Amino acid sequence: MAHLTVASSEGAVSKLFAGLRDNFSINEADSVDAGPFTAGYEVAFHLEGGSVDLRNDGSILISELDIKWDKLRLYAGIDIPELCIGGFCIIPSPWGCILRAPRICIFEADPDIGIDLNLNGLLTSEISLAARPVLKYFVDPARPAGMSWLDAEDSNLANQWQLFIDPDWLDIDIFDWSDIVGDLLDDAINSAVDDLLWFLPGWAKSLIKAILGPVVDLVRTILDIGDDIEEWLSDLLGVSLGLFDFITTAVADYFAARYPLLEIEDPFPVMGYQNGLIPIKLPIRDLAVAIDDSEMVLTANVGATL
Amino acid sequence: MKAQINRHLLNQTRFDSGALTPAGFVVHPYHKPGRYQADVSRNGQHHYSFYILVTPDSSEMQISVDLAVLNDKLKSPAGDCGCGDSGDSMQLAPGGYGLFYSAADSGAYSLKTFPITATEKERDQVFDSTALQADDMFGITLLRPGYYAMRDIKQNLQCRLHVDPVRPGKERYTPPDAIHLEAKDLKNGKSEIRLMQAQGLVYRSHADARIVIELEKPIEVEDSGAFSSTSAPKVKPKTKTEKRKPVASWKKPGIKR
Repeated sequence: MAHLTVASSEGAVSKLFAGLRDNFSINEADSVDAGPFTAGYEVAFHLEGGSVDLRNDGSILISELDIKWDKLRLYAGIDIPELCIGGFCIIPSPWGCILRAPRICIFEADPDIGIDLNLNGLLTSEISLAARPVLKYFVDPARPAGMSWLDAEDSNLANQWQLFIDPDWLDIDIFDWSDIVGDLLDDAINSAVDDLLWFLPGWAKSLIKAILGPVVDLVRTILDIGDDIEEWLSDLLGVSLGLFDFITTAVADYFAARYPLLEIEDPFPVMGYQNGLIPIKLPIRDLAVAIDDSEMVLTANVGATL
Repeated sequence: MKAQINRHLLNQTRFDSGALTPAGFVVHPYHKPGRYQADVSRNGQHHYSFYILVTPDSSEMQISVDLAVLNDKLKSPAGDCGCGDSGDSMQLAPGGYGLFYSAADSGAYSLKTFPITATEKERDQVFDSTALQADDMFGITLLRPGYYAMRDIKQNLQCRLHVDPVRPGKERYTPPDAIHLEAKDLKNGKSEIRLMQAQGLVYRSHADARIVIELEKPIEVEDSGAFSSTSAPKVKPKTKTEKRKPVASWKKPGIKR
């Protein structure tokens, strides 16, 4: 029978998880050449919420862990097609045009436009995962070999038992894009075209826009946006830009190895410096963890020596 | 974001068959086989020359020459002038057309073409863009909406052109077919010809002609502002209770879910 047993209820594990969750944040940017256009993102997010469920198979199920986007900016750069006038037939014939007017292009090179979408606050997404507790023994690499436990205590370099939750699997779900995303795209495209043509007189802008046709349709075609902008955005962010894979990896790595759910100092402090006496500490050996559907139980033996 | 606009195309308000600028062109039919010399002038000064070979061996019924860029091409080491096997000549079938224009700069080009065997006197009887002859043509694509005066300054004929503005619509704008005019259509200002922006206009000469078109009164057009798509993609509403496949999943190797 173990010398020490500590049991944590599901509620207590939830509070431990909250500390783990609240220390997580990501700030990342990336871009890709997606063929007919370039695309990129700038994101920053943290995690909120999440319900903890202890399970009889020894795992912890965490669901409804909200991804809170502090920044979610998506941008795409596209070349709009050449814009030329003329080229009409002067002398037609049953066999085709015999004489044709020259085509003269308004832009000397195909212009590009940048579409900037600030999606912050427009996306509801969450993570769910199942993880198993994993104990690791941490020796601070800054601690010199042969340093006594007392000196390590004084130098804040004491060894630690660390309890991580190592994900078995992790899902990211997107539940909802705000219905204003479509309007946002329209606005971004119009703004991009206006930025491109800002120096032109009204008649020229009007003519160019007329020749371009409905610009939103044109850009939608270039960007290969189908009927469902949500599907396109999810595909662009997830597949083309790999954002969701990046998030799954970052979150899984953070839980599994970056930030422990629980740390136990070894030797464990029982009483600090008192009346000129050195602290009293218990060496922790054989630490083990078990989970059932009601509690998480840590057991350990007290080591014979330090 | 970049946009290098062809400002010469948008800024012009005067067009002259004898001083070609962007959006204007002249056409001359070459009926007789032979080698022709083309002398290009700019602002009345000789600029450079090139050659056209009219031969039954060619099947080309049209050569289009950008007078603004050809000189540079002729001077380039590659000599990429579109010339045929004769080295320094563009080739054209008898009865084909030479079309000459200036797309890339402020223009003011004119040219004369004549058989290289022509005498000095005969050279005055061949194609001269400052004095169009029968079957020569002058074409233009007017971009700026407004009222223009179109004059044949050789024959003292004129008419008025009214270029209507276009506005962005639900469909991509394609200019209507070009309008073709002849001398009888220039009735000393009595007639008015309506065009849409970017619609072509072609004048066919019957006698000594030089066509000048000048903007008299522009039609101001405000920027049409934002416009939406004909079938803008919309978000399909979904609820949080709706079960669906995650957008991304990760699983440790060997783990069954």
